[in-house]
Amino acid sequence: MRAQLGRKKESNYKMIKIKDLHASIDGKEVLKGLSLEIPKGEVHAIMGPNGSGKSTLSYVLSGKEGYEITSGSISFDGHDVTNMMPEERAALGMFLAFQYPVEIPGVTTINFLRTAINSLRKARGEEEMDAISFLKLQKARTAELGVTMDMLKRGLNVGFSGGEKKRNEVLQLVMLEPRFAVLDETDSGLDIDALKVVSKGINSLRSAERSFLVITHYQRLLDYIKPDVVHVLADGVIQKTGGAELALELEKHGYAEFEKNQSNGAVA
Amino acid sequence: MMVAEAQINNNTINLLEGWEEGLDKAPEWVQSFRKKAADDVMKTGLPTPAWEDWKYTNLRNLESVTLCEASSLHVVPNISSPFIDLKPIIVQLFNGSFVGEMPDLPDGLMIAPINEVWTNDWFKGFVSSLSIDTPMEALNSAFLNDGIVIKVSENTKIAEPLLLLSTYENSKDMLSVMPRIVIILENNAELNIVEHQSGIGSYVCNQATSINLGEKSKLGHYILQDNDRTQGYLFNTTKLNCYDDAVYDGFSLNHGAKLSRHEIFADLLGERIECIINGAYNLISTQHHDTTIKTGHFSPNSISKQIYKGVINHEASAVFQGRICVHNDAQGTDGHQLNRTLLLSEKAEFNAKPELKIYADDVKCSHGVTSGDLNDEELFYLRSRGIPEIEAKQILTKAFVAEVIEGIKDSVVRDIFLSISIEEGTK
Amino acid sequence: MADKKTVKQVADLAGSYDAGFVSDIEMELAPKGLNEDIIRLISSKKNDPDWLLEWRLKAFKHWQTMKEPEWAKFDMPKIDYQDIYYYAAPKNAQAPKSLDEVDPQILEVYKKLGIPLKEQEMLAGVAVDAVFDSVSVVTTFREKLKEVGVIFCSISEAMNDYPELVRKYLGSVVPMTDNKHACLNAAVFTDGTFVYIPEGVRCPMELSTYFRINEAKTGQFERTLIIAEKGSYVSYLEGCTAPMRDENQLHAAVVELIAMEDAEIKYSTVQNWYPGDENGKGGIYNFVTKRGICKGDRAKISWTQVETGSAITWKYPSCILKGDNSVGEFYSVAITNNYQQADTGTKMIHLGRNTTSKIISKGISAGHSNSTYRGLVRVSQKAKNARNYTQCDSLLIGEDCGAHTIPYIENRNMTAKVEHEATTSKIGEDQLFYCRQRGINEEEAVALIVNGFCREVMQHLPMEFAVEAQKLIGISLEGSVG
Repeated sequence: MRAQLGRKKESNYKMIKIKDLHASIDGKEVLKGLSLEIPKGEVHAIMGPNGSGKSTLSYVLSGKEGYEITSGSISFDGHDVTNMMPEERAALGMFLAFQYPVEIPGVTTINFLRTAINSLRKARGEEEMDAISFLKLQKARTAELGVTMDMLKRGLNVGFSGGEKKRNEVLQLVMLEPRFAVLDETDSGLDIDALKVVSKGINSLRSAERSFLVITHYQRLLDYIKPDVVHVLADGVIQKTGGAELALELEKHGYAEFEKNQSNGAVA
Repeated sequence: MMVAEAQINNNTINLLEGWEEGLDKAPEWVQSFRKKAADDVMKTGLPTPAWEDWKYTNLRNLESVTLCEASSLHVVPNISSPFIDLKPIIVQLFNGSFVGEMPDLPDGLMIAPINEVWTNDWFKGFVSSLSIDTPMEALNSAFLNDGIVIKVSENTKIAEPLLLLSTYENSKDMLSVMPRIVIILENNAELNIVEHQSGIGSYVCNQATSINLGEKSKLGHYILQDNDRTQGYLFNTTKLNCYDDAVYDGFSLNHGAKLSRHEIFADLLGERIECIINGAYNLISTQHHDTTIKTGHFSPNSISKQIYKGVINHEASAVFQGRICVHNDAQGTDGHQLNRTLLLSEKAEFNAKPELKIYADDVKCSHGVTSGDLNDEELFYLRSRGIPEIEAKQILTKAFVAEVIEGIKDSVVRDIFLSISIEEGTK
Repeated sequence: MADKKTVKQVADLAGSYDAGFVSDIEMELAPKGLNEDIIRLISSKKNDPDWLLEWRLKAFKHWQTMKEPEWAKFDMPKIDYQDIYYYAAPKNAQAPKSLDEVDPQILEVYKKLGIPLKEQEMLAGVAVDAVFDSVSVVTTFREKLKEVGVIFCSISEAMNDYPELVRKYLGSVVPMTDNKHACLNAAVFTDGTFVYIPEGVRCPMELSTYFRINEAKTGQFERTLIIAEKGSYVSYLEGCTAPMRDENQLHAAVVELIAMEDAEIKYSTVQNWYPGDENGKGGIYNFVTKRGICKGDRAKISWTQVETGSAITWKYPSCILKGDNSVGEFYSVAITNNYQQADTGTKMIHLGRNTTSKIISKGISAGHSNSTYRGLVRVSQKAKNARNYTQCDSLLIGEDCGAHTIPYIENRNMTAKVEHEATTSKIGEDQLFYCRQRGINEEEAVALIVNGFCREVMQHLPMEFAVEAQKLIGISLEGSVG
């Protein structure tokens, strides 16, 4: 059903347009002509075997140094972001929930959140958020996600369990309210209860104004975050696109079909 | 030899005595090498505590020793070492000189007294290229004659370990010996050496060890220093040059000599080197031991690790100085150093100076030092299980030292060291 | 890569020294150079008692025989002691009775520095002693403090008003012959702060001194003496600034703390002397001797410092733990950029039983700078059950700087536990990227991460100054990453 819906929306405004993207790291090409469009308000999932370029895509979308775009382009909401700095993309409203969030000792999560919110506001020419409004917002959001005050007062991600780190990523997502979010393997390392909490947080943000790209290796997450469209990424290009049923198919048959393509170097 | 009298201090004259002996029989380069070294010693004198690196080790008592003529008598002592269990190739030094029969050597392994090979270009090239950084090295160099060279050819892995038995013995006045050990591993060569140093009587042994590790070579270098604990001055200076992908696994257990200092200069000149310098010391009576290690990282991506553990009893004192210097080009360096010392008596003394000097930003470096007595809770736990206090202390002390011995890569060597330390720990 | 850009970007820093303005205030200067006559002149200007003049002259005699210290091998031109003014005082600064009598221009200077003395007197609970070049220009809140018996005044006033106290303690912790710079200070010191907390009194507010070098070619030689009697408590803060000048200026201060039984002294410093320009030209030579003694049992001395300024810093605030169960602490952040060199650390001398000390040092180096921790922990034979914990962490930003850790550990008591840990690391590319992905620009991200790195130390600053110090960290690292 959702897939049908997705196709219907195709004529809608495209939030993200990736055109024939080639990207390499350390001189090795990882993305080999990837094209992808995500309309406003849709949730797209990217699935693919290990080494297919999923994480590279998430880093290239957010502008990580060391990833060289050799050709092609990325546009977000009408802005060409291909060569933008990470913070400029963030200011436009792009967000990446990291697969492996880093630890920053001594910087408390709460201080980090406030700095981030105010940096975004400053870049957008808005007033900084005062302490009281910030605390109010933070209280409301943390309660939903089961993030404790203790976590917020600790150094960012320092000593957090895998689940805590992921919850912290989603907390930032709901507090920074981006218009486009990439979720990179957000389900990895989560038990079923945590997965439910995290998915609930993400789903609460779904709206006609916001798009998501969910990167995952397993179908499990998509039980909770229902995608409009599913893409299969292998060997640096989108090999197949379909509705939510494609994810189930992949769960059953695996990626063998595409991996064969990968080893042959063939492009679907 | 004419020297400006004012520049000389007494102990220098003592220890330099007889350095010219046999000089005329040496090749020309050795003659000038020795002359220059003697000159260096006379210029600087022996170190005093005013020297930053010698702040905690005082050589004052060396001033009063009277040295006897170096004995020309070459005794071949009976072989006695726990390491004979390794079924090693055995080479013996007595009072610094090679003695006994040269054993049959496997292909690719060359062992020879220094004064038989010093006319060779490779020997000259290596030894004369080494910088002389301390007066003890200079002093040793002034006497260059005794000692042996061990050389492993390219792509040769020597399966049997080499046991180097070094014995000093003297009954009359103070004897001074200045042996040089040169170890050269060519590219992709491998060797394990166990050096067992033991001495009886009064002596000053000032050994210099020069090691060159070619690319992809591997050296296991294990030293047991169990000289007489009430007499003798022992100085070991080790100079280690490592090239790309070389592995050095070093361990030394020091519990001999009245005063000893092991000074190690490890220069990691190539990339991806793994350099481990571990050790332990166990001191009693009024013994003094000093370990000073200077590790220099000159190229990217090498690892250096040092763990030293010490046990100090009675009125003994120990010094641990370690410096890791990471030069500008040595990005990706991983350098770690740890020293832990147990003080088991009210008069025991411990001084440490662990240093980090870092000039590259992409590095992981750390050092740690702890000192104190045994953990009360551990002690209580053992006693609550019925183990008497003295025994409980011995168990914990042994365990403390065992932790570092267990890092030795060669398992047989490791077990022998473990058994020695256990025996020592109960004293 | 951030590293590559560093070198280029560092050049932008020079303009960012906020306190770098010069104020045009009429000064009274003694002739340049140092000799017995100058010392006599200073002594008469300060209305010294005879014993103090004798003390100064004795120090000067000894100073002439002392060699320049060599322990830290710095790249430093020889100091020409004859090219320095040893006495500079604002002309109108003769002992003002209240703020209203202070030269309005001087008040303006302090306002620019963010220390509006007038407002502080009215609003905040912080008492300030402002030292301008060589002379204390104003001390606020004096009356209020007097009510509880706390003496807070310039040391020259104390010399007249409390001669016995000063005479008893001056030079008792840092002997005049201690080191060359302390000896010079003893000979020529012109002012500084004096604090006396009587028995059982908890000083009701933070005390602080702001030091400002304004005049060119002037040395500043102040002396601070803090005495905390039995069971008393005081928290004291000093801040320092200087204008941007091409030549190097010498600051050789001496600080002595005396804590009696159950007394506690908390001494915090935010040092922001002019660090020199991006090529290493100019800047303050900050050679300071700071030492405290825990004389009585259970006394506590805690040093906290945030060092971002000066071309060269030598500073080792130390504790002599004489009383049983006494406590010494040292919390330090030292940031160097461009061609700055900082050599700082502490000495913890454990003499009494059950004495404890804690050292937390965070060094951050950027540009072509070098930052060194140099410290000594000595446990004497009598210091039964002494405890020390030391942690030194260094952070490097860019590939042309250096970070060094040189601790000396001397343990002569088996029941003592001494622990030392040190690490060196850099700001991870991943950490930077993470922050930037959340919208925080690179420079802010660096400041954020560095502040996090320093958090353990910053927590020990009095609230009023923690925010200021945090900003300072950001400013002093400006331009250090691309």
